[in-house]
Amino acid sequence: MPTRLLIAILRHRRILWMTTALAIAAMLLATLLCRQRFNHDLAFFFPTHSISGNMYRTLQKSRLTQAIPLEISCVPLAKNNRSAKALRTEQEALDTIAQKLSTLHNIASATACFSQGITAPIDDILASIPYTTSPTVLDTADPAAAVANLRKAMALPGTPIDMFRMDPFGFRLPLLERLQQFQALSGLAVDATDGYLISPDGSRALILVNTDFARPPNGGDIRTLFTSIERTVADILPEAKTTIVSPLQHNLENEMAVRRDILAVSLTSFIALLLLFFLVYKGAWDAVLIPLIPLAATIIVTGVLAICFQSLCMFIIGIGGGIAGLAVDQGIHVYGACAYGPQTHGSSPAQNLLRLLMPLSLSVITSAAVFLLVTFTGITAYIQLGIFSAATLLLNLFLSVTLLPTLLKRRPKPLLSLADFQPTPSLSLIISAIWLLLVIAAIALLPKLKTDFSIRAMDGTSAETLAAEEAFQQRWLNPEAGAMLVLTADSTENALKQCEQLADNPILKQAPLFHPAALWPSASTRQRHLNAWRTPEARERIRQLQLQLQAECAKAALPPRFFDKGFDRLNATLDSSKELQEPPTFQAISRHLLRHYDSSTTAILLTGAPKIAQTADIVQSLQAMPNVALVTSEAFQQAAAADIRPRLNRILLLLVPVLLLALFPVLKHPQHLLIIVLPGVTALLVGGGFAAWLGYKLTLVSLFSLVMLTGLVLDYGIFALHIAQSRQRTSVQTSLVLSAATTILTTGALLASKHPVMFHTGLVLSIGILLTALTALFVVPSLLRCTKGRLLRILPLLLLLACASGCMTNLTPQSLPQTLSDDEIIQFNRKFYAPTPHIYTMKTSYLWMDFTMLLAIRTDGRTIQAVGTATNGITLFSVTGTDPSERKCFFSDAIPPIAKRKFFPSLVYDLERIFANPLESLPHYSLIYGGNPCRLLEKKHGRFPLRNYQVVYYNWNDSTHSYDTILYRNFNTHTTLTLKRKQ
Amino acid sequence: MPALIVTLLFMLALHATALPTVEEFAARLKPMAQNTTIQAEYTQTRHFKELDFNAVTTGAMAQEQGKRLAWTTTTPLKSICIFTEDSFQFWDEESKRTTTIKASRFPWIKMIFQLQTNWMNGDLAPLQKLFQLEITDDVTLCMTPLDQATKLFFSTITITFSEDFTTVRKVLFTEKTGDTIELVFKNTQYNAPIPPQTWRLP
Repeated sequence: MPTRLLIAILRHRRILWMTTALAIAAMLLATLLCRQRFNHDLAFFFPTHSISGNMYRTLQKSRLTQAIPLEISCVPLAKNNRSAKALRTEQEALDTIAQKLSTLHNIASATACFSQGITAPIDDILASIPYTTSPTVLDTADPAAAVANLRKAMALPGTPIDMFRMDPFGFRLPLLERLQQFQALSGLAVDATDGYLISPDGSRALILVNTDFARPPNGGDIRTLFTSIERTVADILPEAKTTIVSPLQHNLENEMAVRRDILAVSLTSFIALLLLFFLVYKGAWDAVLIPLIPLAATIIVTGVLAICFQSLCMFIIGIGGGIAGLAVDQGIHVYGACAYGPQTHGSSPAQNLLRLLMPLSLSVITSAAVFLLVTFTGITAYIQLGIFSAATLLLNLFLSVTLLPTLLKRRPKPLLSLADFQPTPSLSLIISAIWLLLVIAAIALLPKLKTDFSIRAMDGTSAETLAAEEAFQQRWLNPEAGAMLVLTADSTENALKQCEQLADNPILKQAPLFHPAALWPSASTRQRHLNAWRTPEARERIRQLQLQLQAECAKAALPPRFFDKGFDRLNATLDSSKELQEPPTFQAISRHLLRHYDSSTTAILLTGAPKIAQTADIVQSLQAMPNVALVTSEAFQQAAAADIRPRLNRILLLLVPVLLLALFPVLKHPQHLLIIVLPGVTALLVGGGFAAWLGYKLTLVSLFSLVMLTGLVLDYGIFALHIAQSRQRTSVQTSLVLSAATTILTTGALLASKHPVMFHTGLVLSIGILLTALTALFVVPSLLRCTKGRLLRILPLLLLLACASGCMTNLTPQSLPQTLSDDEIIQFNRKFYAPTPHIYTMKTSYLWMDFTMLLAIRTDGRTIQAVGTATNGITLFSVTGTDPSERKCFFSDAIPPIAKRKFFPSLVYDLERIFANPLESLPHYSLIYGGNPCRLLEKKHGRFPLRNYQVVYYNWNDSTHSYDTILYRNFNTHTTLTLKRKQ
Repeated sequence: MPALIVTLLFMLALHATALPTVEEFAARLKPMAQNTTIQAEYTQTRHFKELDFNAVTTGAMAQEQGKRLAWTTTTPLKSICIFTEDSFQFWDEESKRTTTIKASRFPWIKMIFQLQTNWMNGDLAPLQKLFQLEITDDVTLCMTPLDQATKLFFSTITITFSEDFTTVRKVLFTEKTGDTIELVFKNTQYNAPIPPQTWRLP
């Protein structure tokens, strides 16, 4: 069948040439026409349904990534010598700048003064009390205490007490506290004289600019805007220095870096390939077709993608050069098989090509399969890259096999022929020993490999800009500044309602939290409060309080009407049919914390800077709130780590069956599989070991590059197997060397890029391919020689190494006399099983599904009492009753049916196994104690593979008599519980 | 000619009664800054305009220049409040409890302490940043707040110094509501040692 097809193609070669030429021209045109669809948006790099993705998209939707804090440094702003008049002149200049900036294209607003419109904040607060506060405060009002406080206030010299008269019971205090909390959490290191943000030394002022781009801005839009802003400031304050620190700067620099690097990478790659071909294929102009065919395939596939996708990640074009380099391999192999006459190989070019077709197709199919598996990450950039790469490789295979042979000129002998590597026994022993040592060293080093899943690891912003941002933060923010939570909703009312819900979140409640609804609640909450204040009972209570106060005033020799002013005002508000509008004092804050766009509203919440453990809890709780993001680097790292693990597991799980299926035609013996995977495994291990040794941190990009590498390295394994089985080793070996060289050159060209995404992809691929090629060319033949063709003999050694790697530990064993250890265990049990309540964050995992709740538990070592609360505050389950026979369990209807069925029935027993002390010794039940002094490390029941459950305890805290982390696995229900103690 | 003489005489008279500038006034107050301690008795009269009611408080004040300031009220309620740059402490006989507020949490404590120090030692330079200063007569300084925080409560603060510019005689706070607080000082002593018990709260 392939022979017939080849003959048919050779007969109609002109049609094939014309079709290919037409396709290239059409797709080139399509790419040019659709070039607007290419952009560099970091959102492409986040999975669709993931915490990190949701966080990034929420941030993007909030448009905070498009905000511009504008710093103006100017000599006249020096505060030390300024008079009141000079101060006003400066304030006017800042107002004029803000006003002019607001009129610029793509700017929604610019604010210099943050307290405009505020004339009577105390009046505003007092008037809003029936809307913002529940009338339950009336129950705590104490007239005698109010008069006593008034007398104390009156004793203070020069203290105004009108506020006391208006609000004798201090109903305003919670609102004032919230305002104070806002000030503390915002952490702005400013002298906010008259509402202007001026640095404490008076040398700098801050204007906040909000942009209003209709679509995500590209580099050109951003540059134009920045220039307009600088020009506007210079027109009004010519001697001023303007500093713009904005996330938009990151967009601009990323785009610039990618554009510049695409050119640099393409040029480097092109020149390197050109040099290689001039050196290898001296004077053979038809060899130029080898890189031209992958280039044609790349152009065609890019054009098709440009038509099919609404928006394309520009980085795949950058990586496209690398993929073209991989695709060159196929041309090299076809050239090696078809360009030389029968006198070279002893067979015709067509026969050579047919013989090569199987390994060539297999290598392409396995690579394409791995690239397609990358699409299962759910990450748009990698979905596009997977499709792009797989399609390019498959199209290139077709063109290389069909088009290339029709264009080649026959030659009597090869232009380049590398000697067949057949190692001597001693050399093969040396190579095998070196390989083994490297692998052992790599296995020892691998556990030290570090990761960096921060967004910065994917950000191509220059070091200067990052340093300027750091300095800006230090200039304007106190170290105690809180962290920011961002929430997006379809309306202001919904945004406020969700703020109120978030404020009730038990995890967020652990730190101070300020949100826009804290001052001016949602309409429904306001109405609820107002209605409650208007009830006859509340009105009667107000009247009673007024009378009691009058009596207390008379006792203290004060006019009885002293406090009537406040009551008159309160009653007027309650009697008024007109609804109170948001007071200007609150508006001044909410117009910055609540931002309205065409179809959405963004709310900014401020929370106390969370510790790492709290961040993890918050990130987990955000899983159920895709429209909320915690804006800290730590939160993003934790979210990315939580997102990446199941996706990577999914791909790795799929990888094995897919590759086995693809390789099935050549797997005639288990040894064949070992030969195919050996180069790749060696590259992954040794590369990983080197990375650990050099302190290289694994980023999200390098992680996915590793997955891609898995597909590519199999090609070398397949050809290594082909060489081992084939009689014509030289031509395939030569092609393999050339393939490796071209791939390393093209992926290595990515190292010229300053953009981390391209750089790390290039680094992983080029080093990985180099190690793979070296293993395929030299190690596999040497090992085959050493094992006399039976490579499976090294398998037990490899398994032993793998097992040994699991035994590596830094702990020093200690011996302890039996009596002492018994005493220590008794002491420990007294502490651990003491009836003390503990609170944990409990994550339950079933397959790839995670569910987090807050667990309050009390145990006396025999029985347990527990309550589980969801992140939104709903009680999910409770267990009461100290005696197991009288135990009462409650499970909420809010629990999803699958969780109710699979997990909750055994939950009580699971918790008992973790926290209760088993009195009876069960068969196959073991308790492992260790540490100094002895403490429980592990509990397990049943033996592998029939284990029932296992509990591992981490980090005993002697002050709280509990563990920081407990990991429990129920092997019957396949449920895992991860408990982390709340601080 | 007679008209010219009258005009010249009028101008001379005008020159003779011209008020000092803020700088001149500040120069006259400079000796006050040399004082290390100030002690005085005071009477505070609060006038509630709407109720036409006066509330009178009497007591004593003591100040260690730039360090601490104590206001001890004797009638109608015995209470003590001590300001330092870092904190504010208040004790009263009725509750017999001390309330302490740290300036790190409430930065306005530091500002109030600074302001009180400034006007008690006649240092007008820092006051100029926060108030529009106006000399209303030879010994009276009228301060109109410029910053929003002070503007919220007071329309003006008027300080009357003694004729020899050695002491503050009276401070009048006019609130936005029209109510006033008048602080009148008497028996002022300079540089006399302050008894240590002044700084001790019961």
